[in-house]
Amino acid sequence: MPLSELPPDRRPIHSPRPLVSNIQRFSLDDGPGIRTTVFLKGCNLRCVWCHNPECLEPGYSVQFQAAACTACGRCVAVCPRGCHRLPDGRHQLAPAACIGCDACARHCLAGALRVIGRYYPPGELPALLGRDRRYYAESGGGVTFSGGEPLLFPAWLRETAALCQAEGMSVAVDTAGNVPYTAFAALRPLTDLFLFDVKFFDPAAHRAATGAANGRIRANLTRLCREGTRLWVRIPVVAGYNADLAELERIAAFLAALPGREAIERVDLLPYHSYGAGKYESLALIRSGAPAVPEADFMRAAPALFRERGLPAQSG
Amino acid sequence: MESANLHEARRARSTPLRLVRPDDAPPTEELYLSDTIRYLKEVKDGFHDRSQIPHRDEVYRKVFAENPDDLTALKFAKAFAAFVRVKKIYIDKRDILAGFTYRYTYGTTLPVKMPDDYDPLYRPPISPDSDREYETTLEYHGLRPDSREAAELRTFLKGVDAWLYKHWFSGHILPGYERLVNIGFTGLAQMGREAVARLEGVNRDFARAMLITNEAALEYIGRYADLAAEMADAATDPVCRRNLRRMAESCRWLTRSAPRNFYDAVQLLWFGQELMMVENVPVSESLGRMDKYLWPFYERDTHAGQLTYDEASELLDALWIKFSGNLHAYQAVTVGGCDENGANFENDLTYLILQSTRKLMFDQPLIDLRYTDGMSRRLWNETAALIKTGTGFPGIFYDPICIQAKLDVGQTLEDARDYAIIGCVETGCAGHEYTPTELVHLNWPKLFELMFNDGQAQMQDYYAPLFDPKPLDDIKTFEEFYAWYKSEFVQFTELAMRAIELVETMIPWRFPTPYLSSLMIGCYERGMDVTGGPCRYNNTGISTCGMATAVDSLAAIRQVVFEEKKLTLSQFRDALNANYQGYGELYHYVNNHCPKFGNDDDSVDFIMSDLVAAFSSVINARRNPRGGHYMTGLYSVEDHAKAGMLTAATPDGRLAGSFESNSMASVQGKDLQGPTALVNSVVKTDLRVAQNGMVLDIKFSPSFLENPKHVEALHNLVDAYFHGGGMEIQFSVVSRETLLAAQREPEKYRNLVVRVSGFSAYFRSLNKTTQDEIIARTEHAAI
Repeated sequence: MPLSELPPDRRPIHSPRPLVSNIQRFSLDDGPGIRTTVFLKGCNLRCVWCHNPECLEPGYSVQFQAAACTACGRCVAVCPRGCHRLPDGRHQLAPAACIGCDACARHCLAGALRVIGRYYPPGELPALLGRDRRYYAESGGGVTFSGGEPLLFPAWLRETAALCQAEGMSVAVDTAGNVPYTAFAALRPLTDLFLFDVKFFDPAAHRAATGAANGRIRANLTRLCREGTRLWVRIPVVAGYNADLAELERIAAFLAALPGREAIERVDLLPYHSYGAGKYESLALIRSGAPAVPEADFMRAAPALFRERGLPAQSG
Repeated sequence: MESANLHEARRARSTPLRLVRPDDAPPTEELYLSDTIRYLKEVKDGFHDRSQIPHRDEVYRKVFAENPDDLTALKFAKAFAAFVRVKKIYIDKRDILAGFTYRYTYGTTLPVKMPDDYDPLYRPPISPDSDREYETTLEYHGLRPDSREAAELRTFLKGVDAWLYKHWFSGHILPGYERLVNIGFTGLAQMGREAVARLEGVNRDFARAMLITNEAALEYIGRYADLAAEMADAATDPVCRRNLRRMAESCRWLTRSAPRNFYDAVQLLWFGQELMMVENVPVSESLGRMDKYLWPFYERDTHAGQLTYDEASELLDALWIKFSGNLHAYQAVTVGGCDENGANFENDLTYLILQSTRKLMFDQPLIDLRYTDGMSRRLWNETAALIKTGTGFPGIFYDPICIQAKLDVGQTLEDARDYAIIGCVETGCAGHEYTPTELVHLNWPKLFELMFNDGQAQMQDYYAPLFDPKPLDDIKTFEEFYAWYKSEFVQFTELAMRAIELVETMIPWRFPTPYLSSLMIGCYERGMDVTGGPCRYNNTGISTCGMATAVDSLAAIRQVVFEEKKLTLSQFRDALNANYQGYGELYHYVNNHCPKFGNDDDSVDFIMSDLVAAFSSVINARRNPRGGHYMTGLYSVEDHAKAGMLTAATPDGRLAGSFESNSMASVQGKDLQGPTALVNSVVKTDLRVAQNGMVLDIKFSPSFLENPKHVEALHNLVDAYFHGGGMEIQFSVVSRETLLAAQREPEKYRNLVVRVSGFSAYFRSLNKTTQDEIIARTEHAAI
């Protein structure tokens, strides 16, 4: 049988092994009910407002909390790759060479270091995620794969999602959508809900703020709608970028015109928040751009642009 | 002007019966707070009169001296009567209920040390008088100081001073208020006269003592009737005059008969409680299922068009202001739950009670909700609205588990279904159960200090001989160490039980409570003081303190000493005795690299479940001298802070003098995987053994609950916890910033009420260690 005739979830696909940055339990804002969100490292966008910068790079990251550090120097001694230095008794981090051996974190007495990134074979995750099964059952929740961009790892994700589904856990995938449609096709049968981010309608503005144009993203969303895939569209609203009535109106018009748009169950307008800002420093990253929190009045007014087009929008 | 006029207007407008409302009525509806209540709330703290503080004890001492040959219960009854005859009474001219109270001293009726003067708006320092308790017990039993019993009693009572144990009697009761509001003091006095005629000997004297207190109560209410009538005559304002007339008329009626209506019942309930404060230490005199026993009055009056929802609301508010005079008194009110057939029970009073607490934001009374799977959406909405205030109310108890725990100690199904909350989280059958719930707490972490130092405490001059002393470095495996810990833990528990049996049998003859006895069913019937075992249920509570601190300590010892062999037990002892000074690496290591209870980690959670099972089986194996059960409590009131202040450093990385973990929760700040992981850790322990109650406190940031979706998730979390085996849960919802600000500037946060353990309190009234403990708890949010 030619591969193209196999159902999408059976076709062989190849993708790299993802590292998990965090498994967040009691996650309430990544789909319905009480969920556990698995964050995967690696993203092919570079949104200036990213609040999970530890998930940008697919390799290991080291997070350092300066306030806790006692400058004991153990990390310098145990790191095989020279990621830690202590000139003048002040810790300096150069995490690029990190191989994820975790030695520094294990030896850090003060708990100031955390190596981010752990590979889980798909078979290991369902038992871990199933620990909160009773909360999923009470709340209509489940498991969400987020990132980074989880659909950069379709083979791993498909296998893991299938195991979760076999264990009776509902699966959602949180995506920025900038992936080949084959990744969606592979996950669709195993996924109860896609959380699909839309940032701009305008391709140039999209490229300027995220580093990539949005042609593929719009095409994927269009196709998912047409195929009747259950969707929650999420729009991060960022002052200085898309917190602009004209831009939101363009997005609203685009969504409203999608064939099969009734597949869009919710449109959530998510105001930018600065909680992620501190992470940049602890990861020795420098952020470009100057995202800002949108005005509360703006957030109150914005959903009307969508509702008047029949889209179930709210500010969150 | 308002009150009566307003009421008449409202009565004309509103239908008398408002029992049925849409189930999903939003809890944000405007709550009715009358001008009278606003006024009384404003002035309530001015009612206190410090000159009254030593007054009660002076009267008691005088009466005792005048009646040296009486049975002790008669001395207490006569002193009670003499005091209430002269006790200051007070009515504010705009009040709608008679009565007021606050703490007096109790050095005469309890072996406690109390000052003669203190600010009634703060808690008086109060501590056990172990010497007096020891001497009284020896004297009563005729024991020689060199006897084995005396030695054990001394180890126990000195251990109370050293906070190896906590020990307390008096208070902690659900008086038979349902019977009181149904038959009045007149009905009780009638029972008393019949009992005196029927009984003989000492039983007759016990009945006489109770009767004296009931007659005193009637006389006392008569004094209020006179005062109210006099004030009514003098009142110029017509509304005040009408309210005072109603008060005077009701008080007069209550001196002659049982309550006729809701107003009488509420007024009498308050008198019942006010008089409890004269005799019993004002701690945990609890009110029981108020929405159940006041319901017939409410139902009858509203049907007859004599009472509206808003009038009932105002009366409950006025009653709440009375309760608020007893700062920090753990006066628990229970609402909701099931009826005698197991069907869901809730009514207008359930909602009104939750609303009174939400409106007034006092630390008293404590509000506890019996949670059932069948409860209405409206009741949950009211509950959630109260949780959001941050006062920590209500404590939420899951009916099926609480009822099962009561059945396990031999209560009938009907009685088990009628349980109510005593004080913090203890459950009891109102009017039928005398269980000193706070007789013993064992401070689990303190045992390490004793075991590591051959029985010698490190923060005070206290020596408790170990049952099975061992040279530390002879212990080769963790299993061996763990078995040793368990063995000492069990035997120190048994020692406490033997010691309190000596105390318990002495109490009816040396520290009886005739007024309380008159309220309890079985005492008149059998001519016995309530402390002597006349009730249907006569149990004893034995509880815990610092559980997760002990569990994490064992996990740290296992890893550091036996698995990784980083140091020996005796080196660990040196580090602890040095309070980790000079052992910085070890301090950081055990804090950050050893497993902690509360993270859904079986390797440490199962230590908890095993220790709890061991603790409860030793407790359940014995019967108390009154023929009752010993019951296990998995809660620590505020003792995890107080005990921590006198407990040396522990192997989990806790410093000397610092607070211990609170009840069933993780060590503060060590539950890093969120509330579901914490709950999973907790329910690995079989909580049905907690026949004396348990506490699980989870702290959320206030912003978390601003999102309705998060409130719904909280509801789901509660359901999942209960369906997974949980018994009690409560929520602290005050931000760290607010707490720190309140610590810096207490005067600006005078009214800030926070959840401590099984109770809430004004933050300013807590000691610094307790405040620090609350601040250090993990604050959960949604990510």
